[in-house]
Order: sequence, then C-alpha cells, then structure tokens
Amino acid sequence: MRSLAIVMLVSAWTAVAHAQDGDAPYASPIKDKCFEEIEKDAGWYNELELLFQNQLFFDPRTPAEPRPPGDVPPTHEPDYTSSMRAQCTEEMKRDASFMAQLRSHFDERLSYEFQRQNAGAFTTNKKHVIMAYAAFMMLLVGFLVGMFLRQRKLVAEIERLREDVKRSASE
Amino acid sequence: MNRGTVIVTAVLCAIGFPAVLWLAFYEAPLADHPALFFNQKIFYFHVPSAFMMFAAVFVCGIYSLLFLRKRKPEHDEIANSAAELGVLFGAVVLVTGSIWGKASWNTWWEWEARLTTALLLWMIMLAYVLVRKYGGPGSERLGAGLGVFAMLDVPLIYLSVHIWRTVHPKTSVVPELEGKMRIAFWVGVATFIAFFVLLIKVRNSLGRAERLLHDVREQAFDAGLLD
Repeated sequence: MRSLAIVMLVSAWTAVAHAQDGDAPYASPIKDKCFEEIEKDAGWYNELELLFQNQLFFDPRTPAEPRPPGDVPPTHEPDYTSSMRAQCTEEMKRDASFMAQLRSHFDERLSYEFQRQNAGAFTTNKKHVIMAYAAFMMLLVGFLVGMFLRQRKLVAEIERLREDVKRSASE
Repeated sequence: MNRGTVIVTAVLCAIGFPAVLWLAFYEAPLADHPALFFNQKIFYFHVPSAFMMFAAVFVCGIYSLLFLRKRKPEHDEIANSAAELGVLFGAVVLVTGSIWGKASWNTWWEWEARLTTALLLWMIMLAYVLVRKYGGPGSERLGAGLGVFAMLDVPLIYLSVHIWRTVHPKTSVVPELEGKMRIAFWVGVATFIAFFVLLIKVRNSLGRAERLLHDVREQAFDAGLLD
C-alpha cells in the first residue's frame, strides 16, 4: 500500500514536471483533415510531391516567393483549391509527426515498388533513350562506312599502280 | 587479318548486341532513383563505350611506347588503329552522356571534372589522328608521344569523381549493380570487348593496305611513273 502510494506520487510529479517543461509532442487535431485536403487539392499535392522528389529540405515556415502582379501560371486551374492550406501549413510547423507522415507518404510514392507498378508513367522519357541509341548507331555506322570507303579506295589505288608498274616493266 | 578472330568476334557481336538490348529493355528493372527511371537504359552502352575508350587509349599508349623503343611499323599501325577507335568510342561516350545529362540533370553539358577530363582525352586522341593524317614524315613519333600522354589522362578521369566534387555518379555504381542489371551490364561489356577486337582487326588491315600502297607508290616512283 505504501509502495503504491509512492509510485502514484512519483507518477503524478513526473506528469506535472513534463507538462511544465512543455516537452509533450504537439499532436495536430486537424492532421487527418489536412491529409484529406492535400489529396483533394491537386496543385498543392503536386507541389509537395515535387519538393520531396527533389529531396529538397522542405520547410513550411519558408514563405513562398510572392508572384508578381499579372503573372498567371501557365498551368490549368485546379479543380479544387483548399482553403485550409495556410492553416494546415501552420499545423505542419508545430506537429513533427505530421511532417514525418507526409515524408513517409511521398517516399512510398517514389519507392522502387511504386515505380515498378507504375512503370508506364515513368517511361515517358524514352525520347532521350531513343536519341542516345540513335546517336550511337549513327556514329558507328558512319565509322564503318568511312572505313569501308577508305579500304575500297586504297585497294583501287594499289591495283591501278600495280598495273601501271607492270605495264611500264613490260614496255 | 586473322580471319578466325574476325569470324569469332563478329559472331559474338551478332549474338551479343541483341542480347544486351533484350536484357536492358525487357529484363533489367527500372533504376531506383527519381532522376533516372527509364533513361538509365542509356547506361548499358554508355559505360561499356567508356571502358572501350579507355582500352583504346591504353592500347594506343602501350604500342606507342613500343614503337618509340623498337621503331617497328606494326606497332605504329596498331597504335594508330587504337587511336581512331578511341575517337569513335570517345564520341559515343560524350554524345550519349550529354543526352543522358539532359534527361537526368536537365543540362546538355556541365563543366565538371569527369566530363571535362573525358573531353580532354577525346581531344588528345583526335589530335593524334589529325597529326597522323596531316603531319607528314615524322608524325609517327609525334603521334606516339601524344598516345603516351593520353594514356596518363585515363587514371585522372577514373579518379576525378573522387578527387573533385562532381555531379557525375561515382565509380561505385558498377560494383553495386544487382541481379539482372548486373547481368545486362556485363554482357554489354563482353560484347563491346568483342566489338573492339573486331574493329581493331579490321582497322589494322586498313593500316596494312596503307603500308602496301606506300610500297607500291615507291615502286611506281622508281619506275618513273610518279613525280
């Protein structure tokens, strides 16, 4: 009984001290709602994906560059623009687990398995592969044709000179 | 020209090149890196071409040294043939590398150590070929000097990614290849070796024909047929 009282006392003291230190990790109450909004807002989602894909240090505290007046982005208007973006960005700042969850989501999207399953979407860059193979073939064929023409010219020249020498010797 | 070697290497190439294409495009998986994906397929002949460029430069350098020491025209012929192949494979490496750079770095060229030293080597080999073609009498020795000098650039290119900070991938890429990527790559290297031997044999026969023409010209000159 006495030991139980000591344990309860110590636990209560630890809880109070912890709360006073402010070490308790902040858990955003709207995190799930924010995830739903990110999924719905394609422009926001793509922006976040690009940041994670390029391994950039994503700091939600960094304000976006202000767009000059009249500078309209060329992309088509997204179907849905979340009104919660600013609020969610604030939450990302405060909740470390929010950012970790986002990172994990995009890491998974960029993972090898994801790429394998969605290989079709990543083969759009075949233009450069075709260009490289074509350049290789052209250089190779050019070299071989050049060598063949040089060989033919040399053989013809040798034959002609030999004939001339033979004729000259017989005369 | 050793007909047996030519036939064997030609057969190896005829089997090897389609096999490499099959392995690279149908068997090897996509690269696990967001900047690579499908354009990593360029790797399967870009890197073997680089290996062959190094091989050509080494053959040229070693036979140039032998020529400088023994003055045998056969050594000079092999060095000259290898130099032309060095220019060919060097051009393949630079052009395909540039296209790959555009695909993954979004730039055709970057003045960084690996690319710059590779370009330098290609220019030295091109200088060798031009000196031999237009240098006139004595160009064999001048060319041999260039061949030896070019050989010294090879370790610099190889180590450049470790000595300087570069955007080019490190030399650890090849040893770290796994599974079917590794198979596709090494089949490619073996095919390119066969192709290199075939080309050097064929190019060497051209060198012998050039020497024969030189002899026939002298005969014609002695007979008063040439000025």
